Amino acid sequence: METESSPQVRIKQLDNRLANQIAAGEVVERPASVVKELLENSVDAGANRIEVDIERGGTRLMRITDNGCGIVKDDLNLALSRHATSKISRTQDLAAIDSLGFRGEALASIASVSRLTLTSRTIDSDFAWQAIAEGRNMSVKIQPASSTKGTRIEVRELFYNTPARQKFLRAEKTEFAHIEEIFKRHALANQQTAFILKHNHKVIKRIPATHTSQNSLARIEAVCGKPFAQCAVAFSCQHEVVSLQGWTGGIGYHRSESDIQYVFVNGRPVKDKMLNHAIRQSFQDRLPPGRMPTYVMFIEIDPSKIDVNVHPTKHEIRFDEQRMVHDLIVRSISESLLESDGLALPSVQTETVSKEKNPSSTPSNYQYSVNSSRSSVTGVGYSQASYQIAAKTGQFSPISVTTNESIAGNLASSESIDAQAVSTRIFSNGQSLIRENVNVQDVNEQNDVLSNIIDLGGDSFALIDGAGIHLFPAKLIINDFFESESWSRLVNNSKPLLFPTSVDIDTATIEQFEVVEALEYFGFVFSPQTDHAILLKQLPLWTESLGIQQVSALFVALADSMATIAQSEKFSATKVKISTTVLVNCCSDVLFEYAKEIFNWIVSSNHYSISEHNKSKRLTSEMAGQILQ
Amino acid sequence: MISPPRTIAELKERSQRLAGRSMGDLAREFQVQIPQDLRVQKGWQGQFIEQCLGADAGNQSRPDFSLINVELKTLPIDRQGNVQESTYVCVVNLNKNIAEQWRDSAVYHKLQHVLWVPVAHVAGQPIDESIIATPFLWQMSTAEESLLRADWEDTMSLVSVGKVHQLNAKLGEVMQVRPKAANSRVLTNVVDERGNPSQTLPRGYYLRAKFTQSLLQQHLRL
Repeated sequence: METESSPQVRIKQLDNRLANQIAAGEVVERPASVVKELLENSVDAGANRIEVDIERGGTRLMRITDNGCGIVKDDLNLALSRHATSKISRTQDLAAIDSLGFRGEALASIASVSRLTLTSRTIDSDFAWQAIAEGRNMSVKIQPASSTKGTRIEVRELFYNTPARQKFLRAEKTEFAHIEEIFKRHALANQQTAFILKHNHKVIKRIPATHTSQNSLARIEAVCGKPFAQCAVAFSCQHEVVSLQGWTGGIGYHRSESDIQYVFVNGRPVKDKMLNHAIRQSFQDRLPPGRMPTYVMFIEIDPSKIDVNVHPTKHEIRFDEQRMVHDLIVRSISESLLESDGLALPSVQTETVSKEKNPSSTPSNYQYSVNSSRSSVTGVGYSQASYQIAAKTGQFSPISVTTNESIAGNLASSESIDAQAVSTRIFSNGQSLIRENVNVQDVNEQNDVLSNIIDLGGDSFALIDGAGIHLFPAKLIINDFFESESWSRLVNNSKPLLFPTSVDIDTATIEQFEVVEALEYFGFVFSPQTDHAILLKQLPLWTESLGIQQVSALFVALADSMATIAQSEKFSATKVKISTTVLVNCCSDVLFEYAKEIFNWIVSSNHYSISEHNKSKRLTSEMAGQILQ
Repeated sequence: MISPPRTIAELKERSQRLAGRSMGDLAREFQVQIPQDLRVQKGWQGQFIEQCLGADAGNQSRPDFSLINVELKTLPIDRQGNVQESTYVCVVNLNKNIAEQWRDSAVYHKLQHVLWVPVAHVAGQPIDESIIATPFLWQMSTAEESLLRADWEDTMSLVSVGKVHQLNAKLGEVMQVRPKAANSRVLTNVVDERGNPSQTLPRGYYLRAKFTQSLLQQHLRL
C-alpha cells in the first residue's frame, strides 16, 4: 500500500478579514478597548458632544455618536480599511503626533471582529451615508441614511466570529465598569466636550461641557467624586518644554485601590510607570501603609519631545527628557503638599480647593539644562592637531627648485616613489604643491607624521601626505619658530616630568645668567641639586618624541654652547642682553641635530602654522635654492 | 600642623617640593609613623599627604584646601606612570536629588579643581619605598566635563526613577558607580521602583583608571 506523503505546505496571502482580526488581537481586547478607540476618533474629529450608548456591557451594542467633522462619502470606503487614516500622512508626522489616533487600523480591526455600521455626515452634505464592511475581503457597502452632522458608529455582537476572544469576556457588569473607566478618562481629558454615558437605555453619567479654557475642578468633581474635590490640592508648574497642572487628593484623600489616578499627556490618557513613580515619590511616607494616592494630572509637552508610538494601545509614552519631567513632578507636588500641610487637615473645605497656585509663584524659574549629547565628545586630551598650510601661491611656494636631481633621486630611492612623478611635482615652478588646510590627523591615521618626513640632507625636509610631497627648508622653519611669538609667548611651553630626574653637569656652567635664560627660553625647568648635577623638572614640549637620555644630552649641549658664547669676549665686554635671535642662532647647531624631531613637532602642534612663516619675506625661492645647494 | 595654603601658587609651590621624594623620607621629615598595612588603613597615604600640604577640611564636606577650593586626590601609579586603580569621588546622592543639576552636584564640586598627587608604589615593596611623582593641578576641560556630565546624568536618571539596582560598574564611560560601604549592613534610604521609600547599599562614584590615565598623560611627561 502506498504511504501518503505529507503535502507540501504553501504560502498564501491572508484575506483582509483574517489580517484585520490578527491586528484586532492587539488593539481590541474587550468592549472597553472599542470604546477607547471610538472615543479617540470622536475627540480627534473635534466633537464637543459625545454620547456613548452601551447595551449588556457592550457585548450586544456599543454606539458612539458625536457631532464632529464627519467623514466625506468618498472616504467611507477607506475609513474601514486598514492602514488608512486622515491623522498623519508623512513619516515626519510620526515625530510629533498631535492626535490621539494615527495608526489607521482601529476601525478595520473592530469591523473584522464585530458587526460594524458607520454612519456619517459632513457639514456640507445634505444627508448622511452609511458604510458596512462585509465578507472575507471586507468589501464596503455604502448606502444613504439619515443623521445629523457628525459620526455614529454602532458595534454589535463583538467577537461573534472569534469564539476564542468571546470566552475571555467577563460579566456584563465588569465589562461595563471597564467602559465607564475609559469614559471617565476621556471626560477628564476633554473638558470642553459634553459627555453622556448610557447603559441599557439608562443615563449613568451626564457631564456638561465646561466653558473655561482651564481644566476645572468642577469637571473633576463630576468624574472623581466629591470627596476628592474637597480634599484636592492643586499644583502646577510652567517650564520651557513642559507644563504641569493638576490636583492630588493630598494626604486627606487616599484609597485602597489605585482607581483615582489619572494622568494625561497632551490630552491623551496614559498609564506610565515613570509618571506614577514620580507621584508616588512625592508623597514619600505621608500616606498610611498600603494606601494609594489619588490624583489627576495634565501634562502639556511639545509633541516632538515624546514618543507615543511605543505600543498599539498608546498607554505607554517615552519622554526625551525623562528625568526632567520626573523631577518637575516630584518637586511640584511635594511643594503643594508641604503648603497644604501648613494650611489644614483633611476636613478642609473648598477654600483649599480653590486655592490655585499662581503660576508666577510656582517653580517657573526652575531651569533644567538639556542633556548634553554624548556623541559630540570625541575624547579627552586629543586636541585636533591641525595645521594649515595655506599656500597663497607665490608667497611661500614650497621651494621652487631649478635643478636638483639628487633630491628626486633621494626621494625615489627612500620611498619608492616614481622619480619622474616626483620631479615633475617638485619642479613645477610656481605651482602650489601644498593642499590647503591639510589636516595632520589624516596623515597620522595613515602613518605617523614622523615617518612621512624625509630628511633630504642639507637642511630640507620633504613631507609626504595624501596631497603630495611638500618641501620645507626645515632649519629655517625651526629657527624662525623659536624666534617667533608662537614660541616666546607660549604660556605652557613645557611639561612636568612624572619624576624629576637628575642630570650631571658642571654647576659652574649652569650658574651663568645667560645660560639659565637660554635654557628656560627653550622650555626647560630645573633646579640646582649638587655641585655636579641639576634636577630636571619640566621638559620642553618640542622634545616630546625624544627619550629622556636624549633630552638630558640636549640639555647639556645647549648649556655648553650658550656658556661658550656667553664667555666670549664680545658678550662679556658689552654686557648687552642677548636677543632672542642671537640666542636661537647660538643654539641652532645643537637644535639641528634633532631637526627632524623638532620639525615634526612644529608641523603637528597647533601652536605654529607654517603659513604664518610663509609670510616672512626672507624665504624667496632664490634663498631656497641656495639652501638646497 | 602646616598652615593651609592661601593661594593656588602657594599650594603649587608646596606640592612641587614633594615631587620625587619617597614616602619614607617624607614620613621621617614629618616624624610620622607609617602604618604596617595600608589595606587596613586605606586612606592613610592620602591623609598624610594632605597633612604635608596643609589641607584643613578634615573629614568635612568642604574642599580639602578650603581657602582656595582645591580638592586633593592621590593617584596610585606604577613606576612607568600607569594608573593602578579607579579614584573615588563621592557618594551617589540616592535621595534628596530632586531636580539636582550637574553644576550643583557633589561630583562637579569635588572635581572642580583638583591637585592630583600620583604616588608610585612597586608591588611587594614597603610603603617607605613609594615615590611621590610630580603633583599637578587640574580643572576639567569642556570635553572632560561633558563626559563626566553624561555619566552623571545617566546615573541620576536611573536613580530618580528608582532603578538603583540597575546601576553597575559596567555603566559609565569615564565614571562608574560601585557599592561603597565598609560592610554590607550599612544601608541608606532610597526611593524604589514604585516610588516607595526603601533601603539599599550606599554607592560611590569612581573615576575609571583610563580617565585619570589620560589626565596624567596630558599633564605629565611619562
